[in-house]
This record gives sequence, C-alpha cells and structure tokens, in this order.
Amino acid sequence: VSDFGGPPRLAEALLRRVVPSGWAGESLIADLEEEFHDRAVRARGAARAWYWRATVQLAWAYLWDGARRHRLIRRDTARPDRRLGRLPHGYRAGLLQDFHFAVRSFLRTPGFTLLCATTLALGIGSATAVFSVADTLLLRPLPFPHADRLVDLWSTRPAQGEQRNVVAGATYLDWERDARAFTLLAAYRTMDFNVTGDGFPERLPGVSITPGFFAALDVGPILGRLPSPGDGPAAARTVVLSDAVWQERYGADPSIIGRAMTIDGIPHTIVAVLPPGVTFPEKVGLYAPSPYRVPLTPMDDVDRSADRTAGYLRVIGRLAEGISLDAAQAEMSAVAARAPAAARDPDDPIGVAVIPAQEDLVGPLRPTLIVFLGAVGLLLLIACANVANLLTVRALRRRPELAVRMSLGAGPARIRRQLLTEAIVLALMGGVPGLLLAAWGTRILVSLAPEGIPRLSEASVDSRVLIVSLLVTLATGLLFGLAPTVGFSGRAPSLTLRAGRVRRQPGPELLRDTIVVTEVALALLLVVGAGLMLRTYRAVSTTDPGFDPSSVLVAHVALPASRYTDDATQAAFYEQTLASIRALPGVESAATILTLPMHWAIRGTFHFSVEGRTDPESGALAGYQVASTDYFKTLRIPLLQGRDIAEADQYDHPAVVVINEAMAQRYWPGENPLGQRITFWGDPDDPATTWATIVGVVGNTAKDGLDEPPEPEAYLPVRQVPMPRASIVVRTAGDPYGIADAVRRCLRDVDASLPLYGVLTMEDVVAESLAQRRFRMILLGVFAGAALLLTAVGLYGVISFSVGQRTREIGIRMALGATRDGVVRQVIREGLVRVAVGLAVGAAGSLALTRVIASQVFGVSVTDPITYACSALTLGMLALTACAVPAIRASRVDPALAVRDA
Amino acid sequence: MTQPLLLGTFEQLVLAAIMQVGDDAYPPPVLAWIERSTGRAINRGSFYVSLDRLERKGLLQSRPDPGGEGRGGRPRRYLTVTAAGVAALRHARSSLLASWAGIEHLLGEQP
Repeated sequence: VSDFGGPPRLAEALLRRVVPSGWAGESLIADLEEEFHDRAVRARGAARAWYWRATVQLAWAYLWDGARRHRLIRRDTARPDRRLGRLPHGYRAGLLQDFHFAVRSFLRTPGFTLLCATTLALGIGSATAVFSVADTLLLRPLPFPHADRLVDLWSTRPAQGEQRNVVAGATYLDWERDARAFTLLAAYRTMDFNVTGDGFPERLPGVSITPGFFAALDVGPILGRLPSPGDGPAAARTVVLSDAVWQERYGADPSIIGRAMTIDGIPHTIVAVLPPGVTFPEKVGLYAPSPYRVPLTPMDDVDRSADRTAGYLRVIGRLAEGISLDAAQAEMSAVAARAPAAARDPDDPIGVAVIPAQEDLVGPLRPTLIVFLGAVGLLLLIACANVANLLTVRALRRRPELAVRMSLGAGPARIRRQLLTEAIVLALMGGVPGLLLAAWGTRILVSLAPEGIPRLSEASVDSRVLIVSLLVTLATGLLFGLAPTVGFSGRAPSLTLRAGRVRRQPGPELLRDTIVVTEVALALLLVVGAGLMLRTYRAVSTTDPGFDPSSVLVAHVALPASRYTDDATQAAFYEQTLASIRALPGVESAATILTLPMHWAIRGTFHFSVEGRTDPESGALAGYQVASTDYFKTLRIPLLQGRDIAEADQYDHPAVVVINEAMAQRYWPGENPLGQRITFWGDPDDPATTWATIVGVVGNTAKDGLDEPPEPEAYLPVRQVPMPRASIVVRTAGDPYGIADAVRRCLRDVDASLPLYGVLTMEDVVAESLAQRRFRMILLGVFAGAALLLTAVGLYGVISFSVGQRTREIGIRMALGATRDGVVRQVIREGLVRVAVGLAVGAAGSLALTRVIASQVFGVSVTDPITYACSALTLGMLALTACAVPAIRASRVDPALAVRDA
Repeated sequence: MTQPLLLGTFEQLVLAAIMQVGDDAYPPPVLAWIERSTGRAINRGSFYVSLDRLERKGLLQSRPDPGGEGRGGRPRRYLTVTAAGVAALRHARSSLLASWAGIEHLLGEQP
C-alpha cells in the first residue's frame, strides 16, 4: 500500500495521543482504519474527510470524558492519590488539570487572550497561506512518476551568453541517437490548432510531439492507447486529448476513441484521452505526433529534421536509473562536441544544458516568491515578537501567584509543566483560527493571482507547512513563557511573596524594549516594501503605452496552411474580412497586425540590413510587424514623419516599411530615415534581394510591458508580406464588446471554418500586463497593514504594562503637582523614544534589504525618500495612537488612591 | 445490585445492537447496525466513550481477538453483553413499553 493508500497520517498520530493506551486503543485505531478502507473504495476524498471528522469526535469525547471523570475524582476525598493511580488516564488527567487551569486563566483575561490569539492567527495564517503557495510552486514535484528524473534539455551558445535556447531539428536527432544517460528523449513544440469538422470551429492550445513524449513523462491514458516511442511516423495523423478537451468539447463521450477530428484542415484520429490534471506543458488540450522525425513548427509544416540553424524545439528527457544530473550534463556536453564539423564554429560552440523540469517551470517566479516569503517571514517574526512580549508581561504579573504555588509545595518542574501547557493552549488558540485564515488566504491568493502562473491552481493548505508555522509560534510561546521561571526556582518564594507586587526589574524591561524596537524596525521594512510596490504600480500604470486602448476590440485568427497555401489567398482573406468589419455600424476603423502591443511575448525580432551600410549595422535587430492600412489610426499611434501604410502598397508595388521612433533613433540618429532602404529577406549583396523603402516614422508602443523600454520595430504592409496569423483590432463608437458577435459573423461569412479566438478589449490587454504587479502590490500591502496592526498591538501592550507598573510613581508625581498633560506627554515620550530607535534601525535595514526587490521596482528609486518618509510617518502616527491610550489612562490616576495603595 | 441500572437511549441502542450482531460483534459491524437502524451517522467519539462507560458499569465485556483484514495485525475488540447488561436492557424495555401502553394510537402506531 502506497503512502496515499492509508488514512491521513497526521490524524492518526493525533488519534494515538487521545485514545486509551493498550490493546483497546489499538483496536479502536484498527477499527477506524478498517472503516476508512471500506469508504476509500467508494470515494477517497470523502473517506479522508470522514476520518478527520471521526478523529475530532474521538479527541473531543475522550478529552471531555477524562475531564469529567477527573472532576468526580477530585470530589472523592478518601484517597485521591490511589484512585488517581488506578485510573487508566492517570497522567493524562494531570495534564487535563493543567489544560483546564490554562483555559480558565486565559478566559479571566479576555483582552490579553484576544490580543495573543489574533496576533498568532494573523502570523500563522498568512505565513501558512504564502508558504503553501510557494510550496506548490517551488517544492512539490510535478505530477508525474519520479518527476525528479524529468529534465529539460536546451541548446546553449556560451559565446553569445545564451543559456537556454530552443533546439534545432537535426541537433535533437543527434542527441536522440547518441545520448545514453536517458531512458528516453522527446521533443515537442507548443502551437495552437484550429479544430474543425465536428461541432463548432475552435482554436485549442496544442503541441506537436515526437511519439516518445508520453513515455518520457511516464503517464498512461484513461481511454485508448497513447503513441509509443516505437510508433515513428506511423503515429502521425493521430491526436491525444486532454481530459479538459474531452469533457468540454465532447461531453466526456466514452466512445470517443477512433473518431475523426480535423486539425488545421487535416483529418486526425482520436487515439487516447489523458487523465484529469495531467498536462505538460501547462494548459495544453491536444497532443499530435508529428508526421516527421521532429515536431512541426507553429508556422509551417515543413520537415525540419535536417535543419541545424533554426531552433524551435523544446526537449525533455527522463534520466536513466542511477545517472546523476551532473553525469547526464557531462555526457551531453560530449555529445554536443561531436556534432558534425560543418555545424560547428570553434568561436561560437553550441552546447547543451540539462536542467530539472521543475526548476524550468517555476524558476522565473522565484524572485517574486522570495519577496513574498521574506515579507511573510517578517510578519511571522513580528507576531512572535508580539506574543513573546505579551507573555513576558503576563509572566511577570504572575510571579506572586507562582510564588504562592511554590510555597504550597509545587516543584519547579510542576510549574514549568503548567507554563508549558499554557503555551500550548495559547498556540492552539491562535493556531485554529490561523488555520481557517490560511485556508481562506490560500484561496484568495489563488483567485487574485494573474493568469498563467504554472501550477498555481494546485495550491492548497499543506499540513506540513501548517505544522511548521505552529511549531514556530509554539517555540516562541515556550521560550518566552518559560523565561520568567529561569532563575526563579532558586529564589526563595517568600521574598517574592513578601514584595507583594512586581518591582521594576531592568532585565525584562530591556528585553521588552528590544522586542518593541525590533517590531517597529521589521514593520518599517514591510511598509517601505509595500510603498515601493505601490509607487511602482502607479508609475507603470500611468506610463503612456504609446497608443489609445479605449474602445478597441481585439481578436485573433490563424489561417491553416492546408487551405491558405499562398500569399494571394492570405492577403485576400484579410482584405475581405476587414472590408466587411469596416462596413459594420458603430465601427470607426479596423485593421490587422501581426503581434499586438503588450500581448503574448512572441518575440518576432529579426536581423535586417540597411542598404549601403556594411559591417557595423549588419547585425541590426528590429521587431518584425506586419500591419494593414488604418492600423496606426485604429490604435491612435501618432505618425511622426512621412506617410502611413496605404491602399496602394500592394504585392506588385515597390516594397515599403514604416518604422517606429526607437528604430529611427537607434539606426539613423540625427539623420532622416525616410527614403532609406532596408531588407529582412536575405543577402544584401544579392541583386535579387527585395529592399523596402522607409516611408514613415510612427510613435513607439509598449511591446511586452509598460515598464520595458521601447524597442525598434518595423511595420510592413500585410498586402506585401501576408502572414498566416494576425490580430484584428477594431475601434468602435460604443462598447467594444457590443460588436464582438457582429465581427464573428463577418469572419464566418468569409470562412465558416475559421475560429476567432482571444476576443478582448485593448484595455483588458493592458490591464492583464499589469496584473502581476497589482498582485504583488496588493499582497505586500496586506502584509504591511497586518504588520502595522501587530506593531501597534505590541507597543500598546508594552506601554500599558509599564504605566500599570508605575501607577504609584505617577500618583506621587501628580500629588506633588505634575499636571495631567505632563503625565500624558511623559508617557508618550517614553513610547516614542523606542519607536524612534526602531525606525532608525528599520530604515537602515530597509536600505540594505530593498536591493532584493530592486528588479521589481520601476519608475522610483529603491531609496526613494518620499516612500521612506511616508512609511516612517504612518508608523509614527500609529505608534503615537498606541501610546496615547495608556498615557491618557495613566493621567486619570487618582493620586490619593495611588499613594494610599502603595 | 438489586435494581438494574437506568440506561440512556444511546446506551440502549449500543447494547441492543451488540446483541443483534451476535457472535461477530466488534465495533464496526455494531456501528453499521446502529447507523442502519436509526438512519443516522453515529458520532464515533460518543460511541467509543459509551463502550468504555458500559464496560466500567459491568454491562458489557470485551476481549481482544487477533487481527483480521486491513487492520495491520491489530486486535479486534469483541463485545458481549453481560447478564447485568441484559437485565438493564430488559428493565429499560419494560419500562418504556409500560409508559407507551395505551397511547399507541396517539403516536400513530399499531398497538
């Protein structure tokens, strides 16, 4: 039976603590296990839930039963000790007494208890939520057997500083032939498929794969048979569905195997369905084995198996048993070095990088997660500091009580046990609401997070993470709960008793002050971090994207190569579609563009040559865009020089190009680029090369995100260089979504089998690019808010305790003529001195630590004085309020009473 | 012990179910019987605590019996109702029947 086969282990461990020892308890646990297995056959999840419920019921019943009987025994005066000794739960009953005493004493001081429990719940809850998400993303293995042996293989070009390149067809075949370190290698390429034939036309995310793909992942089907490594080209024209596509497009039809599905105009046979939740890479719906020895490219279906230059493949491998990552890396480096001499450039060698698949998938998220983990760690520290503080205060107050107990015969061990129990009870009081907060927080995190974070949807509160958080707070409780007993046992209880009240003692006071200073410093760190994120978000969201996103509808089409075989048919398609969209009522203008600004990160960057220029510019790079007429008008991108793309820029007319400002400035600084000629297509020395004349210069647009500097871009007319895919942009008079259906109908009239996908407004596109930042900002903001709250609580606790201790002193001062205002001022001053020290320490810490988030800050310096000043001010104001309440209370001391009590 | 102990409703259910299940009475089948006859899920905590309590009162006896399927070699706790338990059940039944006598029609039951 595997790990997952038995009842929840945590519950079982809990159960062992509460049931009677001996065979009766053993048999009880076995009973539950037996029932669990009966239930698990029907529904595993329900069985686990049932087991937990039964555990809670049993724990409650036995604790309660024990307590009840314990009380009965206490009433029995005859021979309590012997009766106790005969009880099966004798020792447990002693603990129960401690437990009841702890609960009663906490209930006697509801304010203190509420503060502690809230503090702990906030700390445990937020830490657990964030750790759970981080755990899912960074630590939990991919859902494949022995996922630790799954690796990604990349081409590298160390001379160019390129660490992870997609792999060329022939290179992959070399690896496949020569590599011995892997049980299997497989290549794949993600692309979108147009699905037609049965039902509605739809564009689904897919991958073109080699037949060994599933064997490398080591997954099995829930229906049908998966392609296997031996299938070779015989597997072509078959397709494997993900569970999601099977459910949504085919209503989970069990007789789906063998049915036909038309992909990009070519009939395929459905051969298998994958289990639920299995998808690799992320969010893929269709898996189609390639007709060639290497997968297809997204743009064409040419055989690339002899090509060594154009990289486009992703490669995965399964490490063979007993082969380490390093050994595999060494072997692959040797394989790369053996590549055919013709393909090798000694100055620019091509290598291989073998990287664990898990690391590749979530690696880019690491900086964000580390910031979150850091923030939440700080919050947990503050929460612990707070509890430590409150507990020290409480323990000091209890010295007289403890002294009484000791003089009545309780030994130091007994007292420690009592304090230990109290710490545990306190941790539980914070831990249970903390757990709820964690479950809730995880859900909120998942729902707030932007689209496209791999594996996030799998995140759930993890019991291991929860236990770690609980242990941390428990340890704090223990450490500071027991602190007052250190050195206590040796002292004669009578001294403490005689003193009657707590004297000011320098040791604990210093400890408390240190705690408060630390808290203020940590809180400042968080507030500054959140402030920087807030200012970054503002800076980014108010950056001009270079176009006007309001009232623009966007959508995408892709023309299958099987029917749109040449430039003329593609150009005609765009012509007709745009004509009918422009004729719709409410449409101001419409156009097509190859890649939308700020949309998918398809980096169409190409080399170009400038006519008449040789060496230095020969390696010039620019974004490659293909636009129809009216594109700049539709997105309101300003035309700075020359003219727009015109109707007359047809296939048989001289080639023209419009460039953006960044391109003009980079390649023609101080010159007029108009009239210059460039080419993207081939050898500048070849007289047959087509040269495009620069006829206009337009403003820059944000390419990926608003925070990235504009890059050179060249816009070529769609009628001269048609592309098989495009985004349609439509500027409307009213609500852009209002015409979405009409646009769909226009497309259907031109080609009924083409799906229109990704229908959004341009404003949505912009918002999506900000989603990551918004997520970070909100999260850090929440943490900072919680930190402020906790710090205020901590300060309040310390000041009110110190005031409470000095009631007599304050009374005497007032009797001697001190005014109320004077008392208030003095108390507040004492509080603010600590705050000021904390702020200074925090500011220094922030300056040192904000470098960590420097990469995520934009438009504002990490040492931005305004952010620092505002953060310190906020914290200072809050601290003032937290001190003012006890200060005012102190000023209401009746001098007569205070002096008499003394 | 002249007067049989008074039983709670749940205790009656438990003792009766043990007798109904008979030779094979260990907790899971007994629980299943009670859940079937009452149509309710039984709180595992109340059940096991009741077993201990009934045993302390001398109304039932339990003995360990080695193993069984899916129990990892751990014992079963076989349950038998003692003579005192039977007496208590009998007493409970007769007192209940006596208190119901003559009001069956009000309860909508056949006498």
